[in-house]
Amino acid sequence: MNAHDELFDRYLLDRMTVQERTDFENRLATDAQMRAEWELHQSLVAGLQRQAEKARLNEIIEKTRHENRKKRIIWMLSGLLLLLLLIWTVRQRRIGSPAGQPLPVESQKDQIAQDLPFPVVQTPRPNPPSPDFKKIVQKETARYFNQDYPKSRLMTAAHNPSDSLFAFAREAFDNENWVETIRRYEAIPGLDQYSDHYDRLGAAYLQSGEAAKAVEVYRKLAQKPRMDLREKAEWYLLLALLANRDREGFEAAIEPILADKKNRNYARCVALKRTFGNE
Amino acid sequence: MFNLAKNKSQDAATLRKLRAGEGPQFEQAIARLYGACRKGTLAWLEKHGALHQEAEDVFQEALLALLRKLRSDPDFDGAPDAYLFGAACHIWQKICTKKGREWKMKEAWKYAHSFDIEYVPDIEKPMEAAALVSELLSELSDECRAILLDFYVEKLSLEEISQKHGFKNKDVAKQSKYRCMERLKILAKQKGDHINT
Repeated sequence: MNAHDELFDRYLLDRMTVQERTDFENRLATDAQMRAEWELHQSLVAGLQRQAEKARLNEIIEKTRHENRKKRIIWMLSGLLLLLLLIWTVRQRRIGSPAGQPLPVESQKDQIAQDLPFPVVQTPRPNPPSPDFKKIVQKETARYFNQDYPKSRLMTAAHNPSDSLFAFAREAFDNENWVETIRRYEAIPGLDQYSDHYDRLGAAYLQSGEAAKAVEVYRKLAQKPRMDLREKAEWYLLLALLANRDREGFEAAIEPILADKKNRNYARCVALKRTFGNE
Repeated sequence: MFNLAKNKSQDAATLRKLRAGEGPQFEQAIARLYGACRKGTLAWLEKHGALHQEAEDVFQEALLALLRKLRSDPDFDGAPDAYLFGAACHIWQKICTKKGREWKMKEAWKYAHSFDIEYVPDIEKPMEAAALVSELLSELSDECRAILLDFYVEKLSLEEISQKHGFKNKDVAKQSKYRCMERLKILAKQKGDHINT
């Protein structure tokens, strides 16, 4: 075994006394062969230590890299998740809405239910509230009623029993006693041959809420040859159909009027169609 | 170029952790320096002709230079980031000079001085020694390598080495260590690239 190696190691590992260190350093300064051996030994030990230090540093750096990579992946995944959540949210808000407008709440619920991976038991949805037909019909009837059915200025007694029956019913009509009007007119046989009175019976039906009977009366009147009566009947037939909730009949009746701009009821019907047409 | 620590107390804390030499705080400080300086230093080195792997090696050498500086100079209280970058400049300059590569000296030192580098240790010899020893160690047996590292790096006593490696006594461990060191020296001489020349 090289005797110098032990000396070298004790010096390198700081295991010499002060005196031994001084002696060793003096010897190195004088002994060239020993100095050459020392330099090689010292270099190799330094290389070993440095190699070990580098390996340890590499280990730490690799660990750091691994941690950084892990953090980056977590951030990326979080970002991706957020992005997907955002896309999903926007999609839920805007899907199926061509103009980019938010869907109605019920449609959104349907869309979400379709997207879910499990079936959703849907509770029956209540029908949308129907427009207040009665109120609208009443309003439309009142709008033109006094103009279409002016009150009689001649409250004269009839000269014959049948005349008196007509006058009797007319009196109730002018007093807006619809039930009495109906009762009195219904007591007159063959009333449909007296178009003006028959017309009033129809109006009384309409005002008293007997829409089906009003429809029947106005349908007959709409077939009459008298233009003024027919046009009036066509208008009130529409109101009677609406009051009777006969949408198909209403559409069928209003169509020819809207096709004829010269019809007296055209302007009324356009307004009425605007009110009911989009419902 | 990269985020230097602006806070003096942060620098002091980093230096304190690095001086510990081991443990989780030391690793934390290395990780902080690595995260703060690596990108900028590598970019600078690559801009000045280093390949990516070369730049990585130089950065690691600069880290080692900083650690050695802290061991050799207990009073050092400079910015570790700046020292690291200055050391990287220095190492790359040495490499370029040795390999005859074009080296923009003025520009490099302009950077180095801007970070107030007072002392960059001579890192050339240890670098080469480490490179050579790394190569030589791969030619030693696993046991030889382990014994040498235990004795010279871990600084275990011969008794501890004999226990760890299952030798009869410390004399056997001493003989084994001697044989391994001799083998290393022979290999070093065979390489013909003496690290001291």
